[in-house]
Amino acid sequence: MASIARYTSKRLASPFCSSQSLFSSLPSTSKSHQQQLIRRQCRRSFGLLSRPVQIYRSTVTNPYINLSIEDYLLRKSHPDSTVLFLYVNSPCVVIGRNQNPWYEVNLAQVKQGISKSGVYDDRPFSVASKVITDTVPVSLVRRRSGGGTVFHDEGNVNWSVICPSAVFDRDRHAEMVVRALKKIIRNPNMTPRVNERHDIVVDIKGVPRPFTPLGFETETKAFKVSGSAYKVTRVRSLHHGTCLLSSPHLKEMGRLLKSPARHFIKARGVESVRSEVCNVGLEVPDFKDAVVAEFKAMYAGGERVVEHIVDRSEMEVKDIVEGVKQLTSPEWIYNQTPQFELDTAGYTTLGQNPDEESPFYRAPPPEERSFFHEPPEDFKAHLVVRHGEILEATLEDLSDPSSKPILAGAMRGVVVHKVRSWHQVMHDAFIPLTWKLTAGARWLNHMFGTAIPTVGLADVRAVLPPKADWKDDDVLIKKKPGGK
Amino acid sequence: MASIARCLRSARPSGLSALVKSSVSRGVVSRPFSVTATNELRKYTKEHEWIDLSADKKTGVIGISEYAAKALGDVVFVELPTEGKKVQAGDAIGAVESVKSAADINAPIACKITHINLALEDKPGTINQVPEDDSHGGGWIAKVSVDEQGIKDLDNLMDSEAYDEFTATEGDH
Repeated sequence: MASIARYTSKRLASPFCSSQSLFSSLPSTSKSHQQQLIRRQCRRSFGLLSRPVQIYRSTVTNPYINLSIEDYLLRKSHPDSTVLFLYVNSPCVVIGRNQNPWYEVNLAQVKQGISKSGVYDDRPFSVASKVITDTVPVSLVRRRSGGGTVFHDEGNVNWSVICPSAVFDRDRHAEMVVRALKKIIRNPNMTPRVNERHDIVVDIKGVPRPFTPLGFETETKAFKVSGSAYKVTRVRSLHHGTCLLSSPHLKEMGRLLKSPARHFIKARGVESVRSEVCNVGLEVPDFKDAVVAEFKAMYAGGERVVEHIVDRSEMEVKDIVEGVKQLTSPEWIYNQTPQFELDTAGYTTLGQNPDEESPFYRAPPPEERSFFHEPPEDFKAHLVVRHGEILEATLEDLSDPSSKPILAGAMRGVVVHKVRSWHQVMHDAFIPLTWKLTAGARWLNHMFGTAIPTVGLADVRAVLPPKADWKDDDVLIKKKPGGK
Repeated sequence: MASIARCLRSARPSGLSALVKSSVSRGVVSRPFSVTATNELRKYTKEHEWIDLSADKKTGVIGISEYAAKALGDVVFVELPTEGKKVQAGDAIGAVESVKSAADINAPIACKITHINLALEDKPGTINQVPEDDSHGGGWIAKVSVDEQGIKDLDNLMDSEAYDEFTATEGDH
């Protein structure tokens, strides 16, 4: 990208020197000595992280790597600096720090990926006649910030701003992105704003009211285009958000974000709030440029700020490798889940709550009421799962006249995400696999998305550099765009 | 027990001592109002954690301040520390999530976590109601044991007066 390949060694020092106040803690020496010190720091690439205003764009599309670079910037950038980081991820479902993947995500669908042909077989994997092979892989990610579940793909730009915690404000940077959007949205019927949930929505004029003759009556309706989440540490705080520009997978979003198990799970932690979404209809580079311009207007104060490109070479930084390892570990993705209960008793309320109807579809899809989602008749189950491990399990076959709830003590300690088959788990726990309990095991397989080979979860661990190549720190932005 | 003494003291003016006593005997102290810190040994960090040290200076209780609880907004989840973990002052021992933000809770002093307030996992809203209550049913986060380093770290913390001043100036931002 020529527009940002403007790096020269001479400019490296200029924005830095304008902010000597940042280094008031340096021992008072002669001015020339101090400048020399600063220049030496500049020469180390780490010096970038001490600049008052920093802008980075990522060429990486792996969500685990991007989130780790972001976390690295949060922890390593100068406590008084303000940082903008822009990145685009390959398709992934990102859950909040304290969320439940079994509740929020259709794991079976995520593991199988998005069908390129748009053909899906929603029956449980064990009975599905055709296996959809022509798919776009989707990764499952748990981020370190709070909030709800979002979907990313190549038509979505993630923007994140890192600033001192002392000036943390939930709306300030969402407003910044809104200003950027206002400058580039050409559609006069589309007005972006920050809503009360600190998300960015666009008010669209002329949306046909449902249940009236098409176009006869219209209204202004808000569609969510960007979701916000925050991470606050002792000195630094991070606000990151998505922005749907031209996602080709909007239709699939509902499918990925609706777990068949959600009617049966009572979870602690954070539940996502569903919103109707739409694309803003912009190109990725245009949006990035506009956000950068707004960010500069807010913080650069007329100074020249050089943008930097981060790429896969960051994978050599030890802290980033460690971050990727943490984010890709099943312990983080699954076992960080707050305690939850799965109970077939919750089934009775299915369909009675009008809120259950999906805002992602125009009409409630018939597959919502799928036979396969229903627990088998006469099968009762109650599972308590803490940190991804079964704490308590009670199963019951009501068709058995001598029916008694089976307190499956031997199922205690079973790690849910590692289960390959619930039949096996029951068998190992000495539970007599009656016909009903066998059907129950199959239903549990379906609920937890068990036994589905993963094509989605991108295995970045395979591409991690060997440990010998890890750099301690401060080689971030080793490659200077345009420079040698 | 310092906490009981504090209950009594705060309850006396409103003539609620009988109620407080009865609830103490039930083992549940429920107070409809939040208690302001009257414990002289309660110290605060700039990051809005508090620590109460027992009279023998061997154990303590950690929580987040009322000011912080108000600033956070509705707490929806509390990630509790791990029991048995030894930490230095400033180390993240847990996190609270409110309004989409995950905020670290840091150890005010060097200490070892001995008990965690599991009730917060089920009722995170307790943090908003009684953040500075270290009794059963209160919004405290962890009980800790303290060694010499911890007592040294205590000198860097603020007493409640200094903390009130600090929060008053911080509000100007």
